[in-house]
Amino acid sequence: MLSEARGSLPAELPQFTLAERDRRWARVREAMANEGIDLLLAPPHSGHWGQMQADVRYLTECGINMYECLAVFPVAADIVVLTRMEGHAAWLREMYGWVTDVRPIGGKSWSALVIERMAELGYDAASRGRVGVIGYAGSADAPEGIMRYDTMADLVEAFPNVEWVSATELVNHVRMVKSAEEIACIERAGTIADRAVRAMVEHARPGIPAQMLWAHIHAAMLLAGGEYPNMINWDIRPDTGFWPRYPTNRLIQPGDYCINEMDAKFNGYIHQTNHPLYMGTAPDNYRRAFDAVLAAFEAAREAAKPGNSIGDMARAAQAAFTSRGADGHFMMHGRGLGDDLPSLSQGGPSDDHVVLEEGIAFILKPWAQDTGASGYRFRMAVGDTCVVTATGGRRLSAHPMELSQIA
Amino acid sequence: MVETSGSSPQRSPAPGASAQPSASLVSPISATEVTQLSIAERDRRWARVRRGMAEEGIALLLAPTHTGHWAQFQADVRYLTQLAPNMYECFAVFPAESEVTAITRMAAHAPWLHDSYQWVGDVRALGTRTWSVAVIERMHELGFDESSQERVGVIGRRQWMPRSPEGIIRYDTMVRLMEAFPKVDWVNATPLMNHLRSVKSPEEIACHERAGAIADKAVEAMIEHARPGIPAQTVWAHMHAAMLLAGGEYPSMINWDMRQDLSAFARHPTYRLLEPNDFSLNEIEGKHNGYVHHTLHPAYLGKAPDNYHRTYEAAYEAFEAACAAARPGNTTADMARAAEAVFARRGLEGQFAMLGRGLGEDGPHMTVHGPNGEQPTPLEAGQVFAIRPVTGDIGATGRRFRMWMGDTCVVTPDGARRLSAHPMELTEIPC
Repeated sequence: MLSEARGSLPAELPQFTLAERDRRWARVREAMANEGIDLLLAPPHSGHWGQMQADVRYLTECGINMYECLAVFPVAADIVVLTRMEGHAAWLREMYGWVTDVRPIGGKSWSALVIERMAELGYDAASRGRVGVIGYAGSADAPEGIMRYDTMADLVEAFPNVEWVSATELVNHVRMVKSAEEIACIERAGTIADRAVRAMVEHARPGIPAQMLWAHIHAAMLLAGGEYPNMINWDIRPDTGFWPRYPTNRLIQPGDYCINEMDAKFNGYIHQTNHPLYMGTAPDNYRRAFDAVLAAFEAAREAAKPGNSIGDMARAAQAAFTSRGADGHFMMHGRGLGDDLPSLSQGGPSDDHVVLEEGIAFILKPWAQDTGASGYRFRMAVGDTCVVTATGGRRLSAHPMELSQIA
Repeated sequence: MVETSGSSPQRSPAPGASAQPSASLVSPISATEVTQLSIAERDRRWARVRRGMAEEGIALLLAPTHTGHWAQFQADVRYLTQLAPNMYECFAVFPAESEVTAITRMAAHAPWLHDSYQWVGDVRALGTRTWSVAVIERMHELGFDESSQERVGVIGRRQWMPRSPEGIIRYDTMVRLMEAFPKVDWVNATPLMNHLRSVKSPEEIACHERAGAIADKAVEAMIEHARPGIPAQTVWAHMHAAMLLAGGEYPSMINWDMRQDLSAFARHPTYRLLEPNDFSLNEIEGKHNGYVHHTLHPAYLGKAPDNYHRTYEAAYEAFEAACAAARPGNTTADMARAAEAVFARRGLEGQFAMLGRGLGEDGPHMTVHGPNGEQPTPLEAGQVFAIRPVTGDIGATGRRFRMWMGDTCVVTPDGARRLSAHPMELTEIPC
């Protein structure tokens, strides 16, 4: 579980045990050894609600709320965290117990400090080691990685004989299966998501701006101890089928329908939920669509057992849609600190190659569509974050899964 | 003003738009639903930027995507296109003489951005491609090929952003652009844009003022909710909640902590329970339509010791002195001299500091140097910055606290005008 104390000092922030650190580092170093990688570099990138920096956080715990951090992770020496400002370095050293060598770049550049640390590790212009760069090539949310051009160009110039390789996949694979401590964080984030759903149902009223309702949802998550910033892709309007990243100032009206992806976050770990809501009594085809999607969700959840594949989950969901005559679609992807595996699946042929293991956490979010009264097609998206267990996927939040109808 | 826009001529239809509504999952959105700037403001900016490009011989500007630092790293894209709030990744391709193109990541984002915002007609999605592929495609449409030798300005290269010393453009993106156009003269256009963005129009200042009203709400929430026994994180959550419920944009920065004799800003508070004699040092940013109002409001749980009052009074007087000096024709060094003269007269170690504000890393840049320590920036009416002098003393714990206060102001002929309305004070919260 999360540690309550670090040394003799009470921990003021949630953080992981040293046992969890040692587990992660051992797994990462084993993977590095398998690929002949001497050193990993995890660059800073505080974008996408901080998720782009997931690997730094996984390796060091550092990186909450826009603290830009770069991790220098050797296979057999001390790990160094670089951050931008002196005050940041002192704060990170004080607050987190995993890495003691936290250095500010001050008036210098990221590359200058990485080169300095690599020199300490014995690298020079003639070195021919293999260095893995996380975020050097693409991930789903960053198709050209996250490494800055000027940082990488300086490194290549300083160490021209090093073999620079992409290590994005390596760390992603290690991160995919969650420990008990990680699942506890996602579960705590699930309780924060529950508060978000409750706030949405409590405050949704005709006549208030959509932005105001969205603000209530964010406020509820923050006041429940949620971490900042986090994603709520959300909109409410007639027969909507798209979740924009930002709500508008439009006034909510009877007959509006809310589609959403709500990420609650605790200690960096994300619980996503998709909870549909209708202003008034939902038309019959909305309820039919919801019933079909919930059946598909439950069927896929039941199939989420170790040894099964994501293809098995997709087929189970699709069978539920077919039996109800719904135009439905399977969808899921990994959840954790950021762009965790398994990658986005929408029921393609490659799904049979992804075999489930106990401890994989994912958002399962099947959806169906139909034509609404306005003539536009609405999307009924329902989902929640689950973890693979021996008896199938276990939900990590507790709010009722329903199509909420606001009187 | 800023709430709605006029009609925009010559806009392309939305990507994937269809006359048959049921062909699309996307129900319509009206441009009146979002806060946006006028077409006249767009034309003013584009004309200024294109003049700047012409002076530097730049044929094309590229403003890359980066949603880091509370999305402030994408300020140039937003300045050029209005796109977009809250982590919409957008990349702007801005030619000197042709249509401006905005590229966003997901297919569904493009029609939403096109229909919501009125400035750019050509909004494209990456889909499963990469940023460089879409940029190269647009550059080919503009006539660039592998023999092109034009000058292309890249915003977000090294050394010109205090918070991003190695810029923001991704390695893979830049390398592929250089491979596709090997003879292009790639130049750093970050300083050009920072200079152009530093003087604000009335529409921009109105956004700052609205953001100031949102920051006022955060200060009020801090004073209302800070009490011994509640977690620091809860007070901070109330401040964020107050800003959001006042219409504030997400995400925004509140660097905030509260503990005895505090001297540094923290980007995230802890769950420590507040105690009497805790002191809050903070940087609070209200945000409206992307524009940031930055304020620093010290607060003390209980009756503050005399040296807290003395240092606050000195910092406040230094703030006022710097405001008075912030007139067109003066420089940032004049402001620094005015502030530091106050500290000297009061026998305190103190420092002038300021921070350009706007959509992100706006000029004039942050300075904490004294009057002779940095190249002074001439002041112009319409520049917006936070004036934030700092001093400090030894507290009861034996540690040094820092008294750091300030607010965001605009340069006027009469000196700097504050853009928020909360009382500037060292707030003592009864407990």
